[in-house]
Amino acid sequence: MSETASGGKTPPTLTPAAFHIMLVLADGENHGYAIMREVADHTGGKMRLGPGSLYGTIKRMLADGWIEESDERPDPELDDERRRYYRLTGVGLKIVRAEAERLEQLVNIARGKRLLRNPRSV
Amino acid sequence: MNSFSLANSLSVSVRLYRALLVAYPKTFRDDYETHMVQVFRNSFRDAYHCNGMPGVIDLWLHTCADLFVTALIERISEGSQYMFSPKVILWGGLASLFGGLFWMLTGLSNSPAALVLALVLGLGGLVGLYSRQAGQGGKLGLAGFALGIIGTVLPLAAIWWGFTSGLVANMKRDPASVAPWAFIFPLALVISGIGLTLLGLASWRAKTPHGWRGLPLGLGLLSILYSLTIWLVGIVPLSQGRLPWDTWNFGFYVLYPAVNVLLGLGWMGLGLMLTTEAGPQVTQSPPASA
Repeated sequence: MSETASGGKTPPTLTPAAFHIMLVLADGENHGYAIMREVADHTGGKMRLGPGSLYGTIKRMLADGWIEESDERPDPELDDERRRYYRLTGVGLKIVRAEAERLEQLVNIARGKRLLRNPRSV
Repeated sequence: MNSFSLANSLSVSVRLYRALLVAYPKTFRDDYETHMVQVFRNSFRDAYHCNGMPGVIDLWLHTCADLFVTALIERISEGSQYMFSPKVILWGGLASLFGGLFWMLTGLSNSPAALVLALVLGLGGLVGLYSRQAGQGGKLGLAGFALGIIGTVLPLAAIWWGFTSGLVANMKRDPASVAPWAFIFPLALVISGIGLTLLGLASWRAKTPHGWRGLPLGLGLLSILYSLTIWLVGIVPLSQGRLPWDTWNFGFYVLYPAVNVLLGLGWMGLGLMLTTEAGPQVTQSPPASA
């Protein structure tokens, strides 16, 4: 995480891929393929992360300290033990919250300008 | 497709995908290759079970596009660790300095060899300038750098093609026939000029270099002017079936050398600036990440 972000002055702008991955991890730890599928489900298939986008983004988020690898493994009989599981760090949780709030503000502005066709559905 | 052919196509696809992963830097592959292959294998099974062969084709198209873009990003980000160093800036500055001399020589002697050297050394100058921004130029700097490189490599490729295909040898007999080929030069130089202008804007915004901040921007605009001059004094006569140097004309004998000399002075100025700033005062900043 950058100095400004950790200092809490200006939250970093997240790429769409990073934001979606963090939204999935907000529910709890998960592995790469499950993250990819959930992102596709959340967006109705509009955002499809390929393996390169997925692990490239994960690499940068690990380096910035937004997510971390989990040491805990589910029952090996139920899951492939070679899989790596990722979870949000405290810093990551703050960042994804800040981004969600920023987007909420934007949606509220759009709602105030009556740009949304069905405000209740948002 | 039965289960046997599914297993075969899955196996072939996975092998092919694993082979394609060589596009990524080694450190990235060491960390993520196994997991990427696993994700691809799972995606393949899902795509086949949901949509059959059309799903598999769609997966491959999407995977190839993803691989191309992200491998490039990883290569650039890995390269940036070595790129933003005073040594690169110093060598880039020296290349720019000598490149400027060859630009002047090109204008005064009209020698293709001097032009090739000026372009090749110009690549070094672009690398030096981009390196001097130390990642602070952001996407604008990166876009400018990429356009600058493309706009410099394109005329080099065109020169190589022109000489090896006999187009240049045919110039005296049929000037009009080489006009479309020669058109590549002003086009490429406009691209390079736009790239340099963007790089100059990024330099201005990032306040790098400390001194002569407007020089890269000025050099970019001058490069665009140069491409217009080439168009005027080279392509227009060629398309009319005459060689630019056949009869005395102001454009070819005065304007063209003058703009070359100005461009040479600009590149030399840039080289001087980079070499003087490549000392210990160069502050290192890591490039911005995700």
